[in-house]
Amino acid sequence: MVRLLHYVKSYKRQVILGPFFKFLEAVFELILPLLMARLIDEGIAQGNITKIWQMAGLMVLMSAVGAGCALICQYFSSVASQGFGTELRNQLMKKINTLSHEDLNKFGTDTLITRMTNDINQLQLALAMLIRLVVRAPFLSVGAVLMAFIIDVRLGFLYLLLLPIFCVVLFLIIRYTVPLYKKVQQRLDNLNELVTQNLSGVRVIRAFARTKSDTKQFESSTDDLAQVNEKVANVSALLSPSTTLIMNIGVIILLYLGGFSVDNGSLQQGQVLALINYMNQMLLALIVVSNLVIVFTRAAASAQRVNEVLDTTPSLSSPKDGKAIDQNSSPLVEFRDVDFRYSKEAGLSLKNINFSVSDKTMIGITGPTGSGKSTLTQLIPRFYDVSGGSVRFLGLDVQEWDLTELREKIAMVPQTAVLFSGTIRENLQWGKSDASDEECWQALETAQAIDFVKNLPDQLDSLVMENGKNFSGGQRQRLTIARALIAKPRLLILDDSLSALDYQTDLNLREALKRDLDCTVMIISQRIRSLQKAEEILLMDSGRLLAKGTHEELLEKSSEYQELVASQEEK
Amino acid sequence: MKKLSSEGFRYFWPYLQAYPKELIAASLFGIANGVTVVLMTYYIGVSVDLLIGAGQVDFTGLFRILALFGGILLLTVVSQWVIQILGNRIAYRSVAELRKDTFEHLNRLPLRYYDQTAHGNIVSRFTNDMDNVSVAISAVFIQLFSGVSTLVLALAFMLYLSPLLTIVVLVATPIIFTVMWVVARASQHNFSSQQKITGELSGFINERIRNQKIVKAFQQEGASQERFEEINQRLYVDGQKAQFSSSLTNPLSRVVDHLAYISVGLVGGLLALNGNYGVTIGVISSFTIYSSQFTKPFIEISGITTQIQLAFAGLDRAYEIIQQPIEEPSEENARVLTEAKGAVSFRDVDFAYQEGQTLITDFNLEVQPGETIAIVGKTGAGKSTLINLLMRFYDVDKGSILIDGTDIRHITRDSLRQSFGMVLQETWLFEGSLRANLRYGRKDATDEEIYDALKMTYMYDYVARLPEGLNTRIGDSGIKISDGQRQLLTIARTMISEPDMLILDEATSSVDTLTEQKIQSAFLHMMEGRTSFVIAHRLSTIRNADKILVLDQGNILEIGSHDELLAQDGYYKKLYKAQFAAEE
Repeated sequence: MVRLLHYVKSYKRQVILGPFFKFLEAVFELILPLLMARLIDEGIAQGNITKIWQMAGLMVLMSAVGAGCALICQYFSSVASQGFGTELRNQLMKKINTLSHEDLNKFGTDTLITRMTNDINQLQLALAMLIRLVVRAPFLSVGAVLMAFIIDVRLGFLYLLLLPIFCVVLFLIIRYTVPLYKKVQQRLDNLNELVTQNLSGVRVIRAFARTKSDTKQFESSTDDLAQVNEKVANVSALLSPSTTLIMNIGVIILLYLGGFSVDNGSLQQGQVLALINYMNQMLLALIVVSNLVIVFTRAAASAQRVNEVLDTTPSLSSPKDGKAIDQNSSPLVEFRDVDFRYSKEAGLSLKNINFSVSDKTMIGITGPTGSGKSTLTQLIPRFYDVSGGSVRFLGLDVQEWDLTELREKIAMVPQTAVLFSGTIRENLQWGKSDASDEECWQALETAQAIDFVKNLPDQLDSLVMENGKNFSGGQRQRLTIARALIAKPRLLILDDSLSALDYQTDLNLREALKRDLDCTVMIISQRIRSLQKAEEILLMDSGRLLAKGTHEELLEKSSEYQELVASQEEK
Repeated sequence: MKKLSSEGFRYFWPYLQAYPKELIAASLFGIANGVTVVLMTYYIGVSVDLLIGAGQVDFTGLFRILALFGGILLLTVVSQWVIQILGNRIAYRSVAELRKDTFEHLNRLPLRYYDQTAHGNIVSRFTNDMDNVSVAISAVFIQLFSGVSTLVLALAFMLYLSPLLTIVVLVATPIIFTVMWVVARASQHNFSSQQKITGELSGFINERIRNQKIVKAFQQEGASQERFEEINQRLYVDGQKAQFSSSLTNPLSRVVDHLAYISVGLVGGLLALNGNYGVTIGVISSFTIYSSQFTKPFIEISGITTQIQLAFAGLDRAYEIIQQPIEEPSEENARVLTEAKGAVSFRDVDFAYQEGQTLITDFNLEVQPGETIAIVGKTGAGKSTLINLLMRFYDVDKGSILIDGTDIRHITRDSLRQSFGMVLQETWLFEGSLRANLRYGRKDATDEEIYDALKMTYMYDYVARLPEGLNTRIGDSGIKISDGQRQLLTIARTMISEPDMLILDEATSSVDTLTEQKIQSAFLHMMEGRTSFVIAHRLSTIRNADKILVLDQGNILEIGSHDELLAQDGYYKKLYKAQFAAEE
């Protein structure tokens, strides 16, 4: 947690001055009972009206200045904690932007999102509390003890005795509740899962008319959550009454011993009253301390989770000095003895792959589910590094390319068609940031998307909702193709991107690509028909390149290919 | 504070009233607690008064009072805990009931709601929002029950001790309230704009991080970061304002409290010197404590205003779900559809997802029992819409759909849906054992029947190899299975349920063609004698259908058997050529 303080640097002033002003407020607050004691003992008891006015005036002044200090502190704490959270979010986002696919897979999306939101909120809260309370609460309790010592040394020891008793109670309660809080979190995750599942599976659930049994499961899970919550709340609720108990036992002892002191004249009545007030103050401050402890235990866990991301060194990065590239080098893409595994522990996903692709050709890749087709294409823009062998683009090993330059030359249409919220134009401009309307329409035309975009009232300015929810699967897919086309890449990779299209559109699209496009195209598809016209087809199976050649060549020499074709042929 | 009368709260109120015993008990203990707290203060005052000065201390009196004080202390502590326990009970149980009812309501909402609302948004209402309600209730409870009686009794004592000083304290209270109200009003605006930007930011984070790989593929990292920092900066500005303005309440109310404290000292001192008002030093010291007891509930409430505001917002969000109109219930004497023969007709059906954007108009179709209907068409042609209407996920706007001669609106929804077996493109399985998943459609299926279905879908070998067999858990906490395997399991699930009719919507889209070919015979076997609706891209599946329905923009373009349609030389023929004839 301490290392995160690095991000507070720009708010050094606020972080130091905030507690300082809070400290001042606490000082003024501590002095109030003391002045009240003087008002009583010197003013009322001795019949001194001027003293009464003096003391009252002083107290008003003190609380006014105290309030001013408190406001300044609150202001500093809001600036520093919000600023800290903002800075931390920026840094975290920056880090996530540099992570490789492998790193992203390792973390998982959901956890990155919660770290970015919940965890940083916790830390922000902790810093605000730190600034506001970390000085005040302990100071008030220590100050109360000191004041007690100043008034009466013997009675001061009573305060020192009560402190450890309180700490033991606090410790016991925290020790008992922390594991329970974890359990609450688990049950809450469980509930979250159930609702999510229910939402995503609504069609199946209703088709099988299983709403009732699902409701039952949800109800028992809700009751489980309520039960643990109630238990942990009941235990935590002990804190306040036990503080009252300790505090007032202290008061009883104080009055008892104070009685003797007053009787032998070593203590005055007003001083006893002040001592009682300090007792109250100390233990109220201690309750605040206990809340702080709880906030910080939670924040420490969050800090750990945020640090884990910040500490990740991206598993791949651009080489420092980019090599000169021969734009006309041939072949365009070359795989030499490539082996690949997703992580050290995983088995090989690609085994000994060798092939090369000449410029301006069409390459088909086919094979059963899980044979490594997508994996293979992901190595070309260097989303992952090979485990053995090398991948070359324009004659240069992709590991020696500047990453941005390399990826600019390759456009990819992924399997799942994802659009981003914004307008159609904004989405298309992902491919080329300064694309003109004309370029947009051209790309839409090639991608067979011109008709439906033309029919939208706002055309290129039509709004795209989150995940492109307002477009059908096929429409989304064609828009993502247009987005890739607009980049005018050297290599276009279509990763099973035509699956949501019917055969007619699929055919039209492939013909348009051939007609309008001046680049190399790699098409991954299960449909042999879509690949028949390719200059070369790669047949993959279980991570191996089983055979390569034209459709006719493969039909002749590969029995696996024959089988695949036969399965798609009509009978 | 402005939102004290939220509709959500009005809806929730009866849930709280469902605990009369707890509420009565809490009131009794609340009164007890209030009395004891004030009595404790009273006795502190009395004992301080006994410590008049050197040699003047009445020890017998002091001991007696201290013993009494100890007894009262125990009562205070116990009653305080009991009230909190009762409060927790009501807080968590009433919200649990609200959760259940909201969930049940959610289950009765039409599919339209599910399709049009962001799922993350619904989930957070069940978790975050409702949690906020529990937390606020449990925090407010003790203030309400012991706070109110402390307040009343402290007031009574103050009046008894000195009416004049009481007025001094009473002046402070409305000031505290005004301060709270003004600050809450001011911060409310900042809060809601902060909430709005927070929503925007988390939406952005969600979208970008979830699709980080695409961001990378298009080298949009820089642009993404820029957008992010821009939203983040706006969040900082409004977040800081909201935090600062809401954090003013507490220190400001403390100042008012201090001023009351000081006034008691000042006015009390002046009165004591005057001598005729019965004000003694003991009275003043008690009074300072009473006055802080009297204002404490107000100050503590001011400390939890944020929680209260969040709870009201949460209740309103939960209420938004409750307010959604439910699927019209089945008619009272609706028919329970059993052993449907499978005659299906669409008569003059009109339908639109959104008013004004009609998708299907004047749709007519007659299906004989046992026929297989293949539905073909471009994406967005209305194929899935027909399924939505057939299953009554959506209701027709005009016209009717009949099964075995009965309008489906006169059939109970459950029995209608159960008579269809449905395999969809999205492969939904829930977290649980394989057996529970496979039995989902028919609870009494035997293991033997399950194994038969697994054999037909070529999943038997895989399941048999698992050490725990059918007891293996799938999902996040269990084994991971591929999309293709998931789809095969959903097919097996439908086979086991032995439906009267079938709906197959791209049922094998995730399965590779070799496996698909292998399970083809199982499919044909399943479709035999059952009215089946099949959406597929694969023409070989479509070829065997009795009728092929070619859809375009919600209308039937062509209808007929494979050979008839080829002879028509229309859209179907073009489609057929695209797949099977060589490309020109």
